[in-house]
Amino acid sequence: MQAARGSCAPRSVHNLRRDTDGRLTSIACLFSIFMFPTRFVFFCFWVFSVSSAHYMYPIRVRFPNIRTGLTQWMTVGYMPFIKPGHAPTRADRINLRMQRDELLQRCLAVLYDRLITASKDGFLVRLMQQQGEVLAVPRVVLYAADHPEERHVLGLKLNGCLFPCSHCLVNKTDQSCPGAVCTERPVLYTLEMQMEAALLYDRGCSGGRLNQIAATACALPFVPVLGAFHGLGTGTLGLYKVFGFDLLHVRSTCSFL
Amino acid sequence: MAPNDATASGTPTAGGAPMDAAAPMTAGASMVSGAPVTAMPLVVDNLPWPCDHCARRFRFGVGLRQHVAARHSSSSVFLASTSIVAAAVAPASTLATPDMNHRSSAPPVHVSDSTVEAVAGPMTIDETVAIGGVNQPERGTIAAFMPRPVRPVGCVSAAIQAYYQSKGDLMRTGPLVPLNRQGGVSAFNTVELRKFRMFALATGGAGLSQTARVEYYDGVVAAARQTRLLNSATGRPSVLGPMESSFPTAAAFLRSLKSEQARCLSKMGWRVSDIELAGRSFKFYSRDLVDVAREALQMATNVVLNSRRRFSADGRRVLRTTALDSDIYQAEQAEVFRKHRHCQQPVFTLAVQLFSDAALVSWNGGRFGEDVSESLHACGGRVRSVGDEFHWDADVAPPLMDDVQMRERACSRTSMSALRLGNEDAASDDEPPPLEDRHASSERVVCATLRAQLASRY
Repeated sequence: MQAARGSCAPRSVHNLRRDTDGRLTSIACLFSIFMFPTRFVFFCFWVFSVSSAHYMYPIRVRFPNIRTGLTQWMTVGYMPFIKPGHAPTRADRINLRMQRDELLQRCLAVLYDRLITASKDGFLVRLMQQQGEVLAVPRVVLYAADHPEERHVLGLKLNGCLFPCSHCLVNKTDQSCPGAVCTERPVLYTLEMQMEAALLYDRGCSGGRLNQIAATACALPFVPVLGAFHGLGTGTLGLYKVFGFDLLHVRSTCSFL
Repeated sequence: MAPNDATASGTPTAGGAPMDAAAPMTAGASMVSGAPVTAMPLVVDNLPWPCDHCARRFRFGVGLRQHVAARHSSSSVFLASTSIVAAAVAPASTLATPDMNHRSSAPPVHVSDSTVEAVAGPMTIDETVAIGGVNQPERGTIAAFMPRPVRPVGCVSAAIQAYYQSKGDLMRTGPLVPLNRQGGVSAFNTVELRKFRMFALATGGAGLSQTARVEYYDGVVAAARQTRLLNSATGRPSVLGPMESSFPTAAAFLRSLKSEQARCLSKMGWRVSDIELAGRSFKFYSRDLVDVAREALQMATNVVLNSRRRFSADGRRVLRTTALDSDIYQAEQAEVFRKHRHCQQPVFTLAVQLFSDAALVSWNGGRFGEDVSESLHACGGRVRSVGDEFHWDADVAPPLMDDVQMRERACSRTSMSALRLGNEDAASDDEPPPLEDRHASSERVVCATLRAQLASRY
């Protein structure tokens, strides 16, 4: 154990020099001479505190029915984020990716729970411009996200699948062809497959079936919470139609416009 | 695949059974379609998925579903996937145990059809009509080689919601501010004090540090005292400044800011959830979306309740300029009106737009407010995908910003700069600043951000 610690010390100092500024390096080297364990703890804490890397990102909501008033985007949650690059091995990175996707869905489930119920029954609200109460039935009409975020929210594979489009079932070999024949992605079928995969994944069994679902439906073993919304998983089945991307994102990357 | 062979009561066989079928196959049993089925053991009582129509039990829910679809489709409407909902309603520990330990003595949670209906809601006539895929989109090639059982439309959503409720995250959700720190009256009850508060909480995004707040207090009090000395020298009345009269010491000022943070957070209804995942606990900060929607609607002076499809002058083209005349909203509105046609109150469809982007994590270390304000001028519209086409909505504000007025205000770089510099004349209390976040961070930074957002509103 002592030998392992001794061999690890120079590498840690090297990383420290590479990642942070000179002051931190000098302090850490000073600590490494006298007390190595303390230096290591100090190193981790210091880097976390000065790097200003916040592993959270916001989720926002807007109600276009409102013309005057709170018309802007309102932050309604801060999603925790797991960086898969921190895992030492490929298997660990894959595991972390799965945890990240599951964490995303569970956070969305907490956030949307009452809204899902309200999307079915509605809720009474009193408006300024109208006497009495009105029944507001919320329905999701837009989820602004880029392609990776869209695939994460939908619980679909981001790559390594036959059907990379979230809206239709065009094959990846035909997706660049202008006349490619494609059909809409079946909402209920995909949701059921994902539901089945989620239950199997929770039990830690049936890897073959999970692979089969992943190959045929491009689905990760997570069922999207958005499918619980009425109007997305029921009725008009608009789960794959509500996704759009914002111009700000496209402009910033200068990809299309 | 040939359907399962019929079994006598209590003596099922597992011949062409699905791969999840519970009964373990004896040695040499063949799964080839049409092959003779060897003698199989009788009903295994410890398997967690019993069939409601016969004595068979299954190891997995999918096996039960395929069995019901193949064997009992004529006698059952197949109300929801009973197995799925049952597994979802069961606690998470129950979900994890049964298949790993087949001899578990704990019976699985199984709900009746009435329970399923209670979870999924009563099936309406329209939903019943949708059985068989009348309202479903065209099946692609996937469905051709992997048929799925037929079920009512409305039950998938209930199963999904019940599945996530079974995780118990909602049980671990509580208010961000403890109950003993909620409520209270704000000590910043004048315009000057609110400006002091705004500067202390919003400068630089996260506000001043504790030390800087003390220095700020000392500076303001020193200036007020000097002014009082000059007034006394010139014969004018010398009164205490607004800061010193309300907060005798710097510690009182700091305590008031902290209580202000708790008051604003509790008033906004922020809550924190502990998401337990793989032995780790993650904090998730959120607000109740229904409360947010209700608050926004109650504060609005102009709300569009109904929207109609608009056409061009020649009547040949459909005009889509805003989110409310899009195809999705029109379809949802028709659906809502049809479902709630017997409601006593007026009904309208509240369109909800959501935005999230994990890339914001890496944007400037989580500080994206400045980036947004600097990029607003480049945005004049939005491209969104509607079905297979892309539509340009020039009048719809991009998701990351407010309406046109707010966008212009932010583009003028007055508001954000004023917030940073504490110029309250530019960002006055009468006009709340844009609710753009300036930090996405740990609890401390979240609190500071929300504090800054609410400093002028509440």
